Amino acid sequence: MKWIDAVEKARAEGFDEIANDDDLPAGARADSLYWSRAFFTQGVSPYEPSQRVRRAVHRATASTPDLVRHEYEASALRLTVTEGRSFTLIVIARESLDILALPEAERPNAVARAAAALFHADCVDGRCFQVPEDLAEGVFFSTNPGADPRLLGAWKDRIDGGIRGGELFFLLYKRLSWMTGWLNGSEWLGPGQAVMPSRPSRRRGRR
Amino acid sequence: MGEPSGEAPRGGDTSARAPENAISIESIQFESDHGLLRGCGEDIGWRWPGRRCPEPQWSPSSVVPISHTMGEKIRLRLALDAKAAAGPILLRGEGPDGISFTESISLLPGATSIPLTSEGALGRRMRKLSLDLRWSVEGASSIVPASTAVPVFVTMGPPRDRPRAPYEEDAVTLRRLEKAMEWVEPASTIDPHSIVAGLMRRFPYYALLPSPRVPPEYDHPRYFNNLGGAWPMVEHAEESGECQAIVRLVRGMLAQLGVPGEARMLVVWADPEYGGGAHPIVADWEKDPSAGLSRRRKVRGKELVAALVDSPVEEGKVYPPSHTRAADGRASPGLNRYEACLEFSHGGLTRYYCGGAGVLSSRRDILRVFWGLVWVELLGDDEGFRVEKIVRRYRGSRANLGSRLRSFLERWGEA
Repeated sequence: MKWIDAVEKARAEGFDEIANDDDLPAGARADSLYWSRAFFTQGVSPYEPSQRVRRAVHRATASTPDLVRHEYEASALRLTVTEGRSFTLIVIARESLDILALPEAERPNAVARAAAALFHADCVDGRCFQVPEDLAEGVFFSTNPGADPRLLGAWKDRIDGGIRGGELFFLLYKRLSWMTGWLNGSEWLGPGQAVMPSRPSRRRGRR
Repeated sequence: MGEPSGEAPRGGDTSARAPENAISIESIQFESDHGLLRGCGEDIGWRWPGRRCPEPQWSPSSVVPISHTMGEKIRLRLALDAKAAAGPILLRGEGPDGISFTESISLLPGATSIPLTSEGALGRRMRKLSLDLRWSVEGASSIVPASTAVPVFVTMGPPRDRPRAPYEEDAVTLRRLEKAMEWVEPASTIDPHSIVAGLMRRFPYYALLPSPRVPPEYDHPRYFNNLGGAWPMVEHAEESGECQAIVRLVRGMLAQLGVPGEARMLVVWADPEYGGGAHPIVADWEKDPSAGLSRRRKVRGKELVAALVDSPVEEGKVYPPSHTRAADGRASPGLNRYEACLEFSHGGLTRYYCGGAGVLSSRRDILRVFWGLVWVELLGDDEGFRVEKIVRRYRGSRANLGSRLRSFLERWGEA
């Protein structure tokens, strides 16, 4: 998972805390708000007015994309939400959900409960995630492993998750259904980013 | 927009004392009003339903707008109060554009209700009209007030009362009807295709990413919200919206005005493994929101994906991720799964409105918004793509001549 690795690299390179949301470029903030509203259930979004959120940004380097990080607590889970232009990674702190401390048989249900508490997705139960019974460190699971994330028609068509460093994480894709692949993740925090597909000159059809 | 309900009525001075033997107009009930408007005098924003607008539509203390089908006569019921017996008298109401009422009546002292039907019909033109009626009586001293005014939204047919759309954009409210009329009336047409074309000119492109200039609660560019769905887009038309949101808004506007025809959002793509990409594949987005080009194949160990590319590319060349800005400000070629279009059908004619591509008359033409269909290798998550094979070109001098000829013949056949 390249993006998960990129988030780890970025953490090592450093994030800059931002004092208020206006410090985010307007386009990136609108994008972040939009996807937060799409992904998260009510009360869980990092933009909930009642939420105390520590926000930070990481500007792209040669080996990392532009990232925005939100650290807060919701649904009794301590969350670190790191998003790029094309993905959102949600890591649940071990102190709020120590999934590996649970009996093996209970782990899939714990994953499902966490997903149901966090996301709007239609399918968040254990069967949807195809969580393996031997859920352990390094395990990766998905609601739809056969679907290529780069070709999804909607973000709900595939949610990934896994265990890394003893922590449960989920990876959601900011899928733009009209496009194949991803936008440039290093241009997200730049000023005045806009996407305007090139079009043939305006033609009139016959009426 | 001012809320018309509760406005002081325009016209005669209703505070003036009437002469002893005058006839008073107590209220006017418009019986040919569609009677479907909601949201008069209450702040419901762009939402539906709100409360039904009250009746009668005119009284000395309030005025409520009506909606009325064009080309039909106006029927109303006048509630009069006579201080003394009168009659027979000739009651007249003179309105704009040849709308007038004449009735010979006899009155006893007290309240009387008189049904009236206009002598002429409303013109066959959609507009917002102030129905200013000048009242007079022959054979009695006077009638007060001497004039009344009620706003009339003249529509092609009854607005829709019960929503069919998930976000209820198609159900009528006063604010929605007023905005739909404001956008449609200047075109002075009752041809549904011309009306749709006029509405679509307000959205020369589709928005693909959220705009910071639109309040987040509206959920730009999708407009999935409980604040009126796609209706708030009229406040931010310059920011446009997703094709599906524009379709919902256009459909909502047509429903306010009783305009016939069917509007759908289509997604159109081609597949290299279906006729070499020559044939448009079409899906109704509302039935299948995940539809689009999703073709993969493995060639010599490489995972390739098919994509519709929006500007010229060369085989073997590596490009940055879609729409990456170069130093000269130009964007790199974009890879697409489909083109989204509004399809509007009425009277046996179907036209397609695709973001920025003008009005198209066949589905095959829609593919020409793309430069071509290609196999690409996506290079990592953020590293762009290599064009492995150009399957078909839709534009330019080397675009497939057979396709262009077929497209021409299809259009010729439809014309």
